[in-house]
Amino acid sequence: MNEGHTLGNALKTIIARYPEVDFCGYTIPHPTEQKLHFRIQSHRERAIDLLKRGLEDLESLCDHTMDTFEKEMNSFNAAIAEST
Amino acid sequence: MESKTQPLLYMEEYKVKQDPQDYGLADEVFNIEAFKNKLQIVIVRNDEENGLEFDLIGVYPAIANAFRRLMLSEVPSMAIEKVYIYNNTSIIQDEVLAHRMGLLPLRADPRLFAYRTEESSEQGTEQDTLEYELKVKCTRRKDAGKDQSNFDEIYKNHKVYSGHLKWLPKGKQAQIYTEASVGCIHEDILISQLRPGHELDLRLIAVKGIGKDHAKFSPVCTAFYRLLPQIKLNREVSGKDAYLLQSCFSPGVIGIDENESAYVKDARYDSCSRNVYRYPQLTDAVTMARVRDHYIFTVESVGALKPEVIFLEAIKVLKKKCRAFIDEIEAE
Repeated sequence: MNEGHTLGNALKTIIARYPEVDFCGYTIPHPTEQKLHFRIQSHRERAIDLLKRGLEDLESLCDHTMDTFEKEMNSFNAAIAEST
Repeated sequence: MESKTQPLLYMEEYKVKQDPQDYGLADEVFNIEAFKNKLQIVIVRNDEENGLEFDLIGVYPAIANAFRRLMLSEVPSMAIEKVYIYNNTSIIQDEVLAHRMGLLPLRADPRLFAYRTEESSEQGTEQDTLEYELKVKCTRRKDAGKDQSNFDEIYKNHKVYSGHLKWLPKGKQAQIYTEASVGCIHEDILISQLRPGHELDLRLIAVKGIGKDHAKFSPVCTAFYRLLPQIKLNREVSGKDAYLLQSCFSPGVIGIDENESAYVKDARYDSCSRNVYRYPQLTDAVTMARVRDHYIFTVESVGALKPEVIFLEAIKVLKKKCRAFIDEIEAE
């Protein structure tokens, strides 16, 4: 994986909070190598399914944040336009 | 939001204490619907000078930090990457000059350009490259009197500014962009000083890149967040002590009413210094805390993109990362 702490930590906090997951963590084995090890351990589900679910949840989280932000920005701009 | 439901972190004299009732960080189960209900965004201000300030409420620290990191180092912008030096007789060395040119902020919208690929030729194409030239020669003004000592009056072009940069349209670029839409954001950045006979002749190549590669590609001046402070007065503080209390916090945080007693006017912009704890007569009077999931983001743009656009672009980058991995998993 060509990723760093940005995705690693965000994904970890989400997957670690699933009740099915026993353990979830990530490590960057060497700071100058663009490599990330991600570990998910579960006794009920396949780890790959959990990873996929985590990514999908993070994606819809992004979507929702974007929608909320755009909505707020529009109403903020409208309020400014009204006051001037 | 009621203050009771806000998860607090208490700032005591020598330690930070979690609320005894608050188990949120450790045990909370993630559920996307619950997250959607909790998430709140409030835009506080947005102006050219101070940038954008907004509150992101109800998120995990990792998510807030991911957004911050993305804005700093993974949202693309255009910057000068290659400098061809045809002539440089000024006292500033070639490599230092090239580095300075790289740091000039450009107005070009990075969303309209592509990354340079391995295949694209050395010169680049009009979709991924912007070209500029800088040709300045310093001469002595003939009309200047002998007794003049002001450089502005004896020399011509003795100060090279970013405004001297000239854009060279590539291919059909002239039909799409104007000098104002791709040139330098600031006209008055001093690049170098010259003396008569010194000359600069440079050709500059700007490409799209991300802050992870080099800080000059970062689209923000600053992007940071802090937690919302909360200050509570446990007892009445009046008279001399009220003024002392006021001086312990940032200006505007503590107000003093007509009875000379202190009250919390606006804790938001407190610097959260623990100065109060230096005064034994005040230590028991205040409870300082921060709201654990209330992030105050401040985003200042360099100028190419608006701060709100940078934030949205950052989220899009994160989304794209997720999408790429999901596609990879599904392909297997």
